[in-house]
Amino acid sequence: MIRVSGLTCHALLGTLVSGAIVGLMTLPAATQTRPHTPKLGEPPEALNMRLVGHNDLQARTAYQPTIFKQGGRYIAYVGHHGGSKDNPAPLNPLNGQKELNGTSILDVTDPKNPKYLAHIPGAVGDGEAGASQMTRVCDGKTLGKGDPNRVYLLRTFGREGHEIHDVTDPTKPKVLWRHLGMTDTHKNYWECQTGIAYIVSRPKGWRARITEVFDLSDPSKPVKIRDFGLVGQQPGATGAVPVTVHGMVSTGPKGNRVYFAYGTNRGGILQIVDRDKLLKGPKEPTPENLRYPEIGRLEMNPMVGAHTAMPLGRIKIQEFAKDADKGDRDFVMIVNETFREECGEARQMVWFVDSTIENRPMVVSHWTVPEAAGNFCTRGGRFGAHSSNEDMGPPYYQKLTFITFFNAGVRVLDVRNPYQPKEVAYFIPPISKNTVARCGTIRGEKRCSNVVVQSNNAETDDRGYIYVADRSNTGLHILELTGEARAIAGLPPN
Amino acid sequence: MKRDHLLRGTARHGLAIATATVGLTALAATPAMSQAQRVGAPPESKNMRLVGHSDLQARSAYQPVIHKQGNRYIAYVGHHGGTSASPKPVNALTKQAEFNGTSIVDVTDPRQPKYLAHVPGDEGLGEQGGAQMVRLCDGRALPKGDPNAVYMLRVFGNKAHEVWNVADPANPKKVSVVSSNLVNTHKNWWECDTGVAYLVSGLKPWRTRRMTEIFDLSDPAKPVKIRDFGLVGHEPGATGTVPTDLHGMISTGVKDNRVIFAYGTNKGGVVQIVDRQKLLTGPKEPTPENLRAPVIGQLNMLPLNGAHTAVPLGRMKIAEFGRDMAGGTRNIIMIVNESLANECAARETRQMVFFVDATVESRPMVVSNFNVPEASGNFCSRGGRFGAHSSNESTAPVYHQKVAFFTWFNAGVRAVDIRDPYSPKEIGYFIPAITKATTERCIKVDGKDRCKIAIQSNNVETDDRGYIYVVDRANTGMHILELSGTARTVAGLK
Repeated sequence: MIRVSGLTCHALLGTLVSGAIVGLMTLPAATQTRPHTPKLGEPPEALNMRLVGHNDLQARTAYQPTIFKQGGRYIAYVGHHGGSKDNPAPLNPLNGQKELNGTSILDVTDPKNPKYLAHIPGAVGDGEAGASQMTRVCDGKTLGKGDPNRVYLLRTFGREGHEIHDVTDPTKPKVLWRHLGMTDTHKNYWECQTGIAYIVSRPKGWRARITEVFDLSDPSKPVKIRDFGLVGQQPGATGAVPVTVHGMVSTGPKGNRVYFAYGTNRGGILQIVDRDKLLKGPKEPTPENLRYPEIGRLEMNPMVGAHTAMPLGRIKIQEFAKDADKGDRDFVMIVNETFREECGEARQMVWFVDSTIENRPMVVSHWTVPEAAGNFCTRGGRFGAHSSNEDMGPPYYQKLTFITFFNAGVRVLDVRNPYQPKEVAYFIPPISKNTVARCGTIRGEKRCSNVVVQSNNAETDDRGYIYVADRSNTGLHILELTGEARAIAGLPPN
Repeated sequence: MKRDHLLRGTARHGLAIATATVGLTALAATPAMSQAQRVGAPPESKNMRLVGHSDLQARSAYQPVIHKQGNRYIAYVGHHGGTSASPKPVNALTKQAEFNGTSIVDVTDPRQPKYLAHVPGDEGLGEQGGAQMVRLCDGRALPKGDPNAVYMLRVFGNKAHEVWNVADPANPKKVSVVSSNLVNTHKNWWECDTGVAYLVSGLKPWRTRRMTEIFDLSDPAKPVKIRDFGLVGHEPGATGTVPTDLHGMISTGVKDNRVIFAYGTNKGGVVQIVDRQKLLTGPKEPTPENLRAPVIGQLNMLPLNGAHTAVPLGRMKIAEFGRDMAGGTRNIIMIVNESLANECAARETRQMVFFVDATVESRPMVVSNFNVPEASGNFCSRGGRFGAHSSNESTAPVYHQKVAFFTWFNAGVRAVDIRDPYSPKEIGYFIPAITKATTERCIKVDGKDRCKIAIQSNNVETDDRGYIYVVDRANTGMHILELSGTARTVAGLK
């Protein structure tokens, strides 16, 4: 392979922006990270990763992409934050209507030519106050009591609550259930094998955003199981309110654990919970009942939060293979969320927790993008971690993880030894004419920062495609690995 | 180079080769070998080379302390007890058989260390006898000491702590017995500017083998007890499970007002951050409340690791976070585990080094680790222990916050660049050659002893000139080393 760098490389790649042409290139995408803020028209910065396809998502700010295999098709459900004051309801060209941001539905069966199928409008409100940022999708066939011929989308509706849509025909979503009256929502989890849903809400009476647990095995007849939160968040408690929940990931009946992440950019807590005790234990929100299902807890350095707590499961660490434990360790990966533009807070990054002894989980390593690699603190927008892919199947689980890092794009980590995570690839999508500047109080001043990509969330599918959604309206980039990064996943050379 | 001293003792053949290697100076990059060590083979090294050696009368060595005394540098080396084959080695200076105690060596000329005296210790083999721990203070630094005296605080086996006057290091004179009738002792700390000594003791009514006795030794001739200290559950009369034994502690003194306690060796590690002022002046009765009162923060480690040494590195500017608005400077504690098992067996997991961000002292969190790759020398099958044990503790500017040295038993001493403690990097190592004096280490194979001979680098200390003193648990003596090449540059040495 030829390594191309410097101006020649920029000039060469400058003509190769479209996915189709990039697909023909066998050169590694070794466009080195630039020292300056990328300009419109400049190619992406990348290592061992390349663009396959793109959709502009109607220039809506995007949060969670969920990729769902539906019949013979791959459908992407992308949750959106609310619009901006200037443009609260962008045009949906499919119907010619101006619609509040909600959920974008795309056919990504051919990742080179993603096809926009439908937009479901969301709630009123700008940014995180509105729209419908979170999506989870389950098949009626696996839910237990669902209609086996249907596919269901669980999504948030602004901060007001949650909805279930029938997306069996993804071009014609139909709402089935609305659960409103909340004052906050966020990053839900839905077990497709059982129908149990952990939804982030703030029901009346609770002192913080917490978890509502539902049985959605029959999505047309939701059954509430219980409310859950940290002691001190329950109605009637006094004193300081503990940090709010951000989201959770369940390992289902077999793994019998739910990993709750509290905090975003500060006061982070990872809570390891016995799923069975959570679902079947006493439900009254008393301190005792809230403590009952907890197995372990990691209170992080309060300078960082916990956006996502992603169980990596049991990994055999080659380095420890000759030790008495044969190197078998359990891990949880914690991803912080950066809030502030231009490094206006302590660095938010990624942490690896050895949870082999569940009641005393301990961080053992961390990972961050080197700031100097691209002068990311001065490029504009947020720089730091936000989210990870959450797919727990092949080809990537326990091998590679994909972390969105806002203006540093999506970063690919080799996690085969979580004691020593290593970056093996990255892709910083190019900005487009849709990309918007981040404005507000930045490093103490009222202003806007440079226009940069803000890679928000990422997901992967079982073919190995990587989907990165942009917070700054640049749309959805579909990527693939190349070179050594691809080999780690055991994918055939491309 | 004068050979006769270096070649004295039983290690003639091996050291002749070692000395020859030193002669080659800058070429000392002998890569780690894949097989067991042999007498006569050169040391394995990278960016480190041998300057001098003392055989320490082939006594098993634990703590070296290098004390500047007038114009001289004197090494005080604590010894474990002898072996069943040689419980009472002969002191070549007196021709007497003496239980292992303390070796006193003039290392002013590190090329020709001069053995000055051996102060016999307690009877008992290995950790049951000897006088493994030693600390030094000048009389003129201590508030009420004899200004002409130099005081050596040492353990006497597991029975007692005693102070000697070593103003004439060739003729040590006992000054006092600080504490006696103990069931255990270990890694003490002594503040030379105040005289406060934190002694690891086993006091009979206490429920743990090791806890802390605090003494005012500002006048070493008249020890004054201040208080006893331990984890809640250690105290007399407590019930339930006894928490992990103490291993040692380091005080940052009056100004920084912290004592960092390390509990555990190879499992159940706990690190406690304690308010020194509250510890010394708070209520002394060993009630749970009084034991909790001075504690600011506590890190309960993953129980697969212990805490042999917790070194406060202090506030460090982290270059990677230099442009972040918050958190550019972090308060770092380095934890060194202790490996106990031979050949990575005996239910032990890898013992290594962890770096803790204690910027928010009430919630300290591990952020990174350092480990020697096992495969780089097939260390699990070389014989003896493989894994971390101890670090240098000198805060002399030459290495403080720049380079840390860790003893790794059969992997020798490892030099690690800690300027960014979030990303420690190995920059050098030295695995001393074995000699005829080196003793074997055995494991049971099919019920029978299977023994191998390997270096067992036990503890390490540095002086303000940058020399590194590594002592061997398997009787190979003390190796005095210096950095070379790029490692030397990291420390700013010419």
